[in-house]
Amino acid sequence: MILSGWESVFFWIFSIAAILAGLLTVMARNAVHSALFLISSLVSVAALFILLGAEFIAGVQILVYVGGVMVLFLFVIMLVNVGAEEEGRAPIFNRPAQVTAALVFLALLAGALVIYAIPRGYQAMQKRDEAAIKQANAKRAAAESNLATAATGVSRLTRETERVGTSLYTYASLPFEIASLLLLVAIIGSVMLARTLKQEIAADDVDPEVLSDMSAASSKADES
Amino acid sequence: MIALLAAPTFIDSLLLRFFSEQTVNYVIWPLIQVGAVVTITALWVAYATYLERKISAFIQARLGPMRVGPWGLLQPIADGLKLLVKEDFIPENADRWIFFVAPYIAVVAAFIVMAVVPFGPDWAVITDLNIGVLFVLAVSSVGVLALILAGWSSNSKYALLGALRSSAQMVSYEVSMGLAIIGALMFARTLSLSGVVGAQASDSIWFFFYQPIGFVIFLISGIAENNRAPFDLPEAESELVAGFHTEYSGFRWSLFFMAEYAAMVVVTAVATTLYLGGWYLSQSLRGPERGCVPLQGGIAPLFILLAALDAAALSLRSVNGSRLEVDAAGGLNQYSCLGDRCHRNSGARRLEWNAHDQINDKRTGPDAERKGDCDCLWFWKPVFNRGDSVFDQLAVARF
Repeated sequence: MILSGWESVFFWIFSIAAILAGLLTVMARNAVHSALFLISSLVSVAALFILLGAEFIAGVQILVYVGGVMVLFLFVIMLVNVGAEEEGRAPIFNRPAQVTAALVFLALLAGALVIYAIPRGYQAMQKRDEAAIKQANAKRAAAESNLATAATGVSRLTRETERVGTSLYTYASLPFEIASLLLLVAIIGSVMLARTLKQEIAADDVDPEVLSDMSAASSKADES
Repeated sequence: MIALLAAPTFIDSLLLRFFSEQTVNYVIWPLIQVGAVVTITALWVAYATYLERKISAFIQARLGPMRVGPWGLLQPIADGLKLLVKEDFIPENADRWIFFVAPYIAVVAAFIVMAVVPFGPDWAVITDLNIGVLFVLAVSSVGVLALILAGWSSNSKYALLGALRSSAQMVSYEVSMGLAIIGALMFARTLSLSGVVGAQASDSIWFFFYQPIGFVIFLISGIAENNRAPFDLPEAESELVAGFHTEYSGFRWSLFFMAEYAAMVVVTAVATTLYLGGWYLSQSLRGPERGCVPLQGGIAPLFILLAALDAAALSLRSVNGSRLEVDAAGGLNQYSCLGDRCHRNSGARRLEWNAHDQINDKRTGPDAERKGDCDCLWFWKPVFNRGDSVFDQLAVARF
């Protein structure tokens, strides 16, 4: 991905926003604020997907994560009413194990940056490869010229959604079906877990052995 | 407004004198389009409230707003001004920041969908996304967040319960809405809304005729998405005061209302685009060139549908609220209700009163006891069948 002009500006805005929002997600004391920062992080990542030309993924990211998962998160947070953590002003930063782990990873990251990323980036900045940029732009223009014009007449419609759908159902239909089955199993499992014994007895859905055990236990309790 | 009336090519050439083509295409035209669409939507939102008040008044044999302007036509503007200067109250224990932001999220999520709705070919589209339909779904699902945040940040049980109800309803109806949309998309084979209109134009048929059930499902789940009349349980005034916006006042409250009505406009616009051909009417009615004619043709079904939806919601509400009851004495009672405020139409009042008294006299048991403290309590009971004490008190007070 070679970005130029406004695209790079938006890239920097959204990537910094994603990182900041991610940090604030971890650091916010209030669980709802934390969820909100997570939402802004997800939206920034969706914007980055759009810059990558993956509009479908961006749309699904907002639809599924922001509109579905995070709404359920907020539901749970509000209903459970997490108050204990925000009330007690326990310091979060000075537990030795946490600090050590964080420092180790910081050292690794800094090492990688200093040894590999920064020198390479600096080199690239020293001599900008104009030819590569020109090549990439030409390639992009050639790819765009085959696409249908949008209704506004100034932009073009990509066929990414079609490609996602085709490859999903051509190469990945079995994993797709397995994933949907997994979700079904999870739903049924949660229903089973949430059902109480009383409800099961009411629906006449109990193992006879369990029932006899229960009656034995209750009679024993009566005797004693 | 000048931009709307003048020929777009003329404006284009005028703009090109001052700015580069890039700027005109990507900055100035979109700004003009956005301005026009926001203005029209906001006006429609304002007059939808007027229509609702007027039509429900006609159903109940009242006049509705009459004071401001001829037939009360300036009433929405007066309402807006009033709400603008009203005190904006924030509860003491509210989460101020979220309380502040939630109405804006609601309004933005409702209005931004209009960006992908095609009003005509060429210059009458703000933007043509290749994920248009997905964009509509995604943004309307963000609208749910606004309700939850508003309900939670108010720090009030009523608001929280209302928010939970509203958002649970909206999240669930999004599923059926998505499935109904897929019905139309199967024929269009594109997610771009302009593409959907184009597909209907090239087939010379509205997808409504291919997918009538899909259209009905979309409309029903659209009404449920907006928490409108038959699905307005989340805002049940008798038990939850007003739902998620209980603690809001002044302009912030009116923002929520704007969002609700704008969401109605959006749902009908999307329904028109997907099922009723969008701006495309028929081959013969299309203009010779891409230009103004199809635009007008396209706005017509949108408004017809809007009016139909409004009227349907209102008549459903009035079926819900106003009842004709034939009682045991053979008298006819007509009750009309708006929301929870009901009154019995006074025509046959005297006669009915006597009839009820006679029946009451014959009764024994709980009703006889009740007659002792107040006649009207017995009288109101069968109308509501809810046994809900707050309402009973209200009814007694009103009688």
